[in-house]
Formats: sequence, structure tokens, C-alpha cells
Amino acid sequence: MTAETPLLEVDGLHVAYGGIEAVRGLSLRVLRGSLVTLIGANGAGKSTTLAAISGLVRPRAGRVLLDGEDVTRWRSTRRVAAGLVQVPEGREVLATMTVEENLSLGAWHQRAHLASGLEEVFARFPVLAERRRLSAGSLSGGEQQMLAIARALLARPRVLLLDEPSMGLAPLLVDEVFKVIETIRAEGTTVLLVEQNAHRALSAADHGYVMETGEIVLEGPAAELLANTRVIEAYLGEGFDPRPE
Amino acid sequence: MQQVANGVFLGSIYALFAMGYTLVFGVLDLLNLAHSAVFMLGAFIGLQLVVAAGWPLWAAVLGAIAAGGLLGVLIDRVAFAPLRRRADAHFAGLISSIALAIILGAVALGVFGPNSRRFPQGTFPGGRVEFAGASLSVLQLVILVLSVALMLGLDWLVRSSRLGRAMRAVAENPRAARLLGVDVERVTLITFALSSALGAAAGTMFALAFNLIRIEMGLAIELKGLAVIIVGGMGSLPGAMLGGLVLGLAEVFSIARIGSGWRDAVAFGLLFAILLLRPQGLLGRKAVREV
Amino acid sequence: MGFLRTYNAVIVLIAINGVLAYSMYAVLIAGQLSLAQAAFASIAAYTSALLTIEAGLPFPVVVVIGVSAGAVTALVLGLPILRLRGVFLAIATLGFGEMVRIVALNLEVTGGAQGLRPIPKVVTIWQAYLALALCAWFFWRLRPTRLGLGLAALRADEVAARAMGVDTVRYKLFAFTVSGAMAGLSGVLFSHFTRFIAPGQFGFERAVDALLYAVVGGTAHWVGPFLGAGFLTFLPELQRQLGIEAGWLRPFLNGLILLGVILFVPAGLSGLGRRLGLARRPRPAASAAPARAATPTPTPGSVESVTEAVTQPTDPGVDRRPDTLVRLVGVEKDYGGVRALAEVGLDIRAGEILGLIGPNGAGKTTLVNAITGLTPVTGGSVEVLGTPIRGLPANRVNALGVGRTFQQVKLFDDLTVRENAIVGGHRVTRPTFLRRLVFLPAAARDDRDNAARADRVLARVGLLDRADAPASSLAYGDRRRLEIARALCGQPRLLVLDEPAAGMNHVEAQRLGALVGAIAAEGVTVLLIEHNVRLVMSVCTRVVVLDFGRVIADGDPDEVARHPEVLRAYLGQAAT
Repeated sequence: MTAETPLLEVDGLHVAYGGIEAVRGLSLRVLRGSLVTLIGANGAGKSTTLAAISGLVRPRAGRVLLDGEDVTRWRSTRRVAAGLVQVPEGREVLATMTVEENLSLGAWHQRAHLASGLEEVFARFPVLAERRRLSAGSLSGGEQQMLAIARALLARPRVLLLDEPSMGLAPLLVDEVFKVIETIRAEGTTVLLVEQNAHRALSAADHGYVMETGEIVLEGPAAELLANTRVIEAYLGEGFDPRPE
Repeated sequence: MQQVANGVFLGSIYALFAMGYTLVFGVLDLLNLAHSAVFMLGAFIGLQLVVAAGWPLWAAVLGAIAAGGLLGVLIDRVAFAPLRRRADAHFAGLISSIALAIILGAVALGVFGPNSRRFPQGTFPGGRVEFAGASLSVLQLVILVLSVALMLGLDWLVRSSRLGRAMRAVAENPRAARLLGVDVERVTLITFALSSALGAAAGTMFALAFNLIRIEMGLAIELKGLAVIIVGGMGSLPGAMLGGLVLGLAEVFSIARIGSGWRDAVAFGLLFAILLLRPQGLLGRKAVREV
Repeated sequence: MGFLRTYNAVIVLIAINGVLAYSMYAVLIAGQLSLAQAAFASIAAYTSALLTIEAGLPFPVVVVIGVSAGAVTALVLGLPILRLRGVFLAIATLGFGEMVRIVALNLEVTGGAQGLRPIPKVVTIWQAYLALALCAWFFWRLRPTRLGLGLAALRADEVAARAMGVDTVRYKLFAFTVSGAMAGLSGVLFSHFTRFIAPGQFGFERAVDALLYAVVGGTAHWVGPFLGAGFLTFLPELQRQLGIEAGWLRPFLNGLILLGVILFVPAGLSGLGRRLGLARRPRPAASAAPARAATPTPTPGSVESVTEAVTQPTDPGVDRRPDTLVRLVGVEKDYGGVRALAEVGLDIRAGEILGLIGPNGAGKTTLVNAITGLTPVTGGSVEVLGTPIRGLPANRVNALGVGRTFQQVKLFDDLTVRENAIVGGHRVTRPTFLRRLVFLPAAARDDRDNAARADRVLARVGLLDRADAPASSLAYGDRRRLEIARALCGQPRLLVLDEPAAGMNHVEAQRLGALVGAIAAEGVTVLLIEHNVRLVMSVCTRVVVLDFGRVIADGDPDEVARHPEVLRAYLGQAAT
């Protein structure tokens, strides 16, 4: 029994997606101000979980609670307005629109704060300020990831959901992305991070959940999970020895 | 030069009509074949407002445009929204919009009768305007100006307004738009409303320009509208404007060369040529071939 | 007989409209929306009318010429425009229809707006229904054949059909030409029955009529077009009998019916009939062998082999078995700025089970699409079974002996489980349609044999008991297995499996691994893409790792598992 209400809670989620039972009875909690990570091999159902949290797919059973309020029946637009914002897998920047237009769209529900929001974001990501009039499609992978995150920040999220922000990025860029994520978290935003890159994710997080074929198989403080070989197994199979000879 | 003026005038009406098609196709990837019915109903409603309700012309035109917007909402709710989750949504949407077009045409037939109509004498001001060796009637000039204004207005809306950004976002990636908090269903509705408002406007302009309102007018222009968007490029608003201009000029010049019987053939000649040689149209970007 | 005489006109018109409906049906079952039927009918109508009036040719000759005119026009039109995507095809055919109408309106020889008259009235009820029966018979004989199933597959999923070896381009052209021929037939009958034709009768409204008949009748069964035409031709007659004269009511009802059908009963009247159990789904052949108790775990080394290494009639003359089945050299794939594959060099050797792994977005599916001909590469060369495949469509690559499954299961959902498998065997079966048209028993036997062969493969993957069920009704794991069975029916030399274990738990994945092992044991080379690294390591003889479109490791599974690059790619920094 936790004393405080988690800012984001998922309870008994069952999602069928494309014919598969992608998520089976998943529950997790994200406490206010914490960075929680959901890791697991590909195909484990992590993205589907985020899709359900954001309202892109309707679960067959289970609930999603934002600050204690049941938002399971809410449409996506309402969830975003309430501060539940996702940075999708693969970034999904709108390539035909300019950087600035992409960012403005991020502030869709925060019109009043558009100008100040842009200022903040350009200060944090000078690269985006430089390229504000260029088409988003002309940015490099790393820059697009920054754009996607900045865009989400303009929505003034209370809970920020990140779906595999490191995907397809070179290690140096992954460093930068994670630095940004950690800064955001330090400023008080609650973060749920879905990642395939287990090491990075667990190093940054407070708490972790490990997912395998639709279910949570392991959870605990991130530091403990980092040292736990069972995590390795969840990814790569039993008897797998990652230590160099 | 007179030919050019006539061509531009005709082209502006074609373009105004075609923009409705291209807006829906560009944003929603749907072809709305009930658009022609809206064109026809716009004309009839405009006429009724003048004749039966005694409204002044300018009010009747606005009324027709508003009615067009409502029809757009109807089209979305009845023909397309119920199909959104289906796997064959595009194909079924084509058919359901054809069905709705038939229904609307039948309703018009029932309400207004099969005869062609005209605006009563004195509905619009007379007089002509001369410039650069061409002359247009005042009415024609007003229509031209209005049409261009509407088109430019829409283009501005899509390019620079918040709503326009949302429409472009939905056009490119509905899922990402949803994650940004955009209400995709509402944007869809607004897109249909705008598109049909333009269609009704085009119908009213056409009726004023040629002072002949018939049930069949929707059909006659439907295929030309399709030719315009194919030539200009599906999904491109500037393309629709350019395509309309091209078609208008081509038609006017061809009447002089090959006689009016073949005038409609020009549209289809262009259509085919573009489909075979440059399927994405002059300014278009969307994929046209199979995978 | 009195009844027939009184309602003669309506009854004949039902038949003529029925023929037109069949012409629309022909393209709809291939998944194409063409609105050119009225135009084909128009061309045939005018041609035949002129021949009768001016040249006094006997009716049967005129019919043949009219039908040919329709067919040839369709063929010539189809060649360039069938490449166009759905909406654009519809628009192009609409445009063509208008063009024909305008030409008819303006030429002197066609009588302009006045049309042609009088055309001697030749068509009797029996002739009209003979024509209708011919069309119905054509489609009745078509469905269970290789061609018929191929068309249905094409409609359900064009890409998957092509990957199974169906020559989609030729099939679409075939359907289009048939529709032209039948539309032509309806045009000839029309002109020689109504005695008068004018351009307006073959315009957009007539094209929409054809669509109406076919959609309302439904494409679920070959009797559909007749039902649709019958119902919709009869309706205004009924109205007249009831004394409803209003001119607007007829189109209103038509529109309402079409809307209602497409929204609520998309399978049309024939689909309703099937749901009520009135029509049975045509089966290619019930399997003669009794259904074996479905064993989910195939046992390698048993008498029945998954892949029939025994006799294959149409193996494309590859006697010498090359050791290297696939060779990639310097392969590059750019997607407008994004480099999906960079300098990929890879050999796939006969007899191995090659695993292809790598993090999300590494380029695995792109690579597989390059090998199977779905995606052309922008640089380098790809050789499959000794043949460079540059520029070859997917069905030709399949013909070389490559089978595959897809990351997102691409089954033909409208077809049954067995039918899916039969389509998979496309490349190793012979055409049967022409022979079945004339009821040659050898052809029926061929179709039955194909079905039996499909059944055997289904039995191996444990799906025989559901062979008659629609593919859409299968549970997810079964869908994956059906996809594999379908690919196996083509007796491939190389089987490519794209993430077949996605979404499976340990037990299911293990069973899949055993199946893959059994397949390989019978001589099929396997390329397995998977995220389930445990599965890959246990089943594969060799593993290749892709990251950022490049090969970063290639070799023995154990070695690869310890490779620091691989660990970094998957887990981040090495967990020390």
C-alpha cells in the first residue's frame, strides 16, 4: 500500500493488437517525480502498452489512471490535454513541416504558452533554434529525436512517455538523449521510459519493470535490476553468458 | 486576349470546385464522389434563397455556402465515418459516397423538379468592364474575384493557421497527430465541411455565371473536377488552382479550334495524358502506382 | 407463357443487366474498381448495330464481333492503366467512359445525339438467358481453379499473392479483358433488343448501374450479379405496378439500397444467402485422406514429409543444385536520405538455417524484401539461385524457388485455410481453368491433387482440422503456422521466415523451432529473422547480425553470442 497516489498507474491491462494478445494482465505504477523504465526484448509488448496508455488502442480489460483518475475511456486528445504526453517510437516527426511548425503542434493544447514554450525549448536545444525554418525531414536522426522530445515538452506534460528514444541512434547521440531525459526528470517531470537498451535505461531510472511476451516478469529498483542476470536471460535466453572469456 | 480572359474565368470556377476534392484527398486520403451533388445543391439552394425567400444575392450566396458546410458534415457522418475502421475503407468509401450522391440527386429531383431553372431578371447587376483588350461582365469579374479570394483564403488557412497545421499533420501522419493531442475526428469533420462549402460556392458561382441550373450539372462538372485534380496533382491545393487554370484555358482555346461538341473531350485528353506520363500530376506528391 | 409475354421486356432486361453485372463482377473479384463497363458496352453496341444495319451480318457473327470489340478495348486500355492505385484507376476508367460517350455524341456515323435506329430486334428471352448462363457458368467454373483462387488471393492481398508466385499483372489484365468481353456482350444484346441506342444510355449512370448490380448482388458467390441485377431491374417494375410514378423515387431507392448494402451488408445479397446457409462455399476438393489427429509437434523423420521432395512437375529446370543459394554483394538501399542497408555482403548456403538478428530498425526486413524481390535495391547485386534478380517482380523470384512469410501476417483472410495453402502452391501447379471450363476430368483431378497436397502440409503444421474454416477465424499462433504452411506448399528451395515467433511464448516458440528444424532436415534452406534470440541460437546453424544496415557479425551462433559488438547492439554497454 503506497501512501501517495502514483501519478500514472496501469492496472490489469489486456490488449489484443493485430490478432495477438500483446499485453496480458500488466500492472505498473509510476510515482510522482520518478523515472520508471519498462524494458524487454522486442515483441514483448512494450509499445502496445504505451499505445494503450495514450489512448491509441482500446484495451480489452484493465484500467489506466492518471493521478487517481480513470482515463481508460478518454480519447487521446483529452489525455494529452491532461498532461499525458508520448514521444512515439521512431520519432514520427512531421517531415513535410518545418521544425517550428512541428513544435507549434506540440503546443496544441497549450496555446497560451506557445511563445514562452518555444523560447524555453530553443534555449534547451539550440540546434533546433538554428534550424527552426527548415523542414523536419532534413534533420539528422539525433536532431529529430530532440525535436520529438521538444515537441512533447511544449505540451507541458505531467507524465512524459518515451518509446525507445535510443532506437537507431549512434552511441554518442544516445548519450545526449539520455542527458536530456535526465534533465527533464530533474526538473520534476514524471517519466515512463520504454527501452530496448536495458543498460542505459536502468542506469537512468529509479525503478524498472521487465516485460516478456506481454507480462511483467520482474520489477524492482533499477540498481538491483542492473545487477540481475535474470534480466539478461529475459532478453537473450538461458545459459547465455555475456561476460567476455 | 478575350479567350484568355474567358479561359481564366472558366478555370477559376473549375479550380474552386476541384479544391474541395483535393482538400479531402490530401488530408484524409479519400475521394468524395458526393462532392458533385453538393455543387448542384449549392446552386439550387442559392436560387431558392433568392427566389423563394427573397434574400439579396450576396446573402443567398453566403447561405448556399453555409448549407454546403452542413452537407459536408452530413457526408462525413453518413458515408465515411461508419467505415473508418474497416479494412476496405477506401474502396467502400468511394461506393458509399456514390450512393449518397445518388440519394442527394434524387432528393433534389423530388424537391426542385426536373426542369432547368434560371435566376430571375435583374438579380445581378449589368455592365461590362474592359481591360487589356478583353472584356468581362461585372458579374464575371465579381465571380472571378470571389473565387480567387476563396481559393487563396483556403490556401492561407492550410499553410499558416493553427487549424491548417493540424490538417497537414493529419494528412501526413494521423497517428502522430493524435499523439500530439489533435482531435483527429474533429479535424476530419471540419475538412469535409470546408470542402463542401467550397463545392457549394463553386456551384453558386457557376449558376450565376451561366444562369442555368439543372440537376445534371453536378455530373457534368464532377468529371472535369477529377481531371483538374489529376492534372494539378491530387492533394495539392496550388495544383488544383493550376489545373483549373490549365483546363479552363485549354477548353476555351479548343472550342475555337475544334468546335464545342468536343469541348468536354479536352478534359479527358488531359486526364489521360497526365495519368500515363506523369501520374502524380504537375504539382502533386502522393503515390499513384501500386506497390 | 402469357406471363412471359406480358413481362417480356423486364425479363429480358434482367438478363441483359445481369450480363453487365457479371462484367463488373469480373473486375471486382480481382480487387479492382473499374467504371469502364458502360463504355465497353457502348463500343460493342454501336459496332454491332452498325454492322447489322449497314452490313446486314447475321446476328451470331455480330455478337462475336461485339464481344471481341469489348475485349480488345479492355485489353488495350488495361495495359497502361492497371498499374494505377485503386482511386486513380476508378478515375481513369470514368474518364475513359466519358471519352467514349463524347466520341459517340460527335461522330456522324454513330448518329450523334440522336443515336441509331431502328436496329432490328433479334434478341429473344432464350438468347438473353443463354448469354447470362454463359457468364454465370464461366464464374462457376472459375472459382475452384488455380486461376480463380489466384484472383481471390490478389484481391485479398496483392503483395502476398505476388510473393506466392501469382503473376498479378497478368491476372489483373485477364480480369479486365473478361469484363470488357462481357460488357461487350451486354451491349450487343442491349442494342438488338431495345432497337435504339444513344450515347446517353451508356454514360456515367449506366456505369454506376453496373456497380450497383454487382455490389448489391455481392461478390461472395457467382450467383450474386444475377441476384443484384434481378432485384434492381425488378424494383422499378414493382414500383410501376404499385402505381408509384414519382421519377425521383427510383434513384432515391437505388441510392439508399447501395448505401445500406455497403454500410451494413458489404457482402451483398449473395453474402446474406451464404450467412443464411443457402449457398455453400465452393470447395476445391474435400481431402480424400481422413483427417489425421492434429499433432502440433511435427516429428522429424516420420514417413510423411513436410515438403514433398517427391516429383515436382514444374520445377524450373534447376537440376544442378548450387551450393550458394543467395549471394549479396555490396547491397545498398536508400529510402530518400535514410540508408537502410549499407554495403551488405552475405551468402546463404544450401542446407543451412541462417538466423538474421539485429536491433529494431537495423534493416532486417529491408534485406529480406530485397532477397524476395519486394523491394529493389539501390546499389550492389542480389543473386538468387544463380539468377540476378534486379528488376524482377516478386512473383518471378518466387518462381525461382523462394517462399516466404511476413512480419505482419499477410494471409488471404477471405479464403479458407486450405485455399490459402493451395495458393501457396501456385508455382508448382499447372493451370486448370481452361480445362475445367469444358469439364475435363483430368483438370478436376489436378485441382483435387493440389488440395490433397495442401492438406498434407496443413496436417504437418497441425491445421488440417480447420482446413475449411476462413483464415480470418484462426487464432494468432495458428495464423503464423498457416503462413508457413502456405509458403511450404510452393516447395521452395529457400524458405524465408520473417519474425515467425513474434508474440509467442516459450512453449510456442520452441514448437516453432522444432518445425523449422524439421523443414530444414528435409532439404529446405531456411533464412530466419527473429527477435527471439534464444530461439535463433537454438535452431540456427549460422547467425548474421545486422545493425544500422550493416553486417556486424557472421558466424557460429556461440561465437556471435559472445561478440561484444552484438551485446552492445542489443543491451547497450556490456553489463560488466
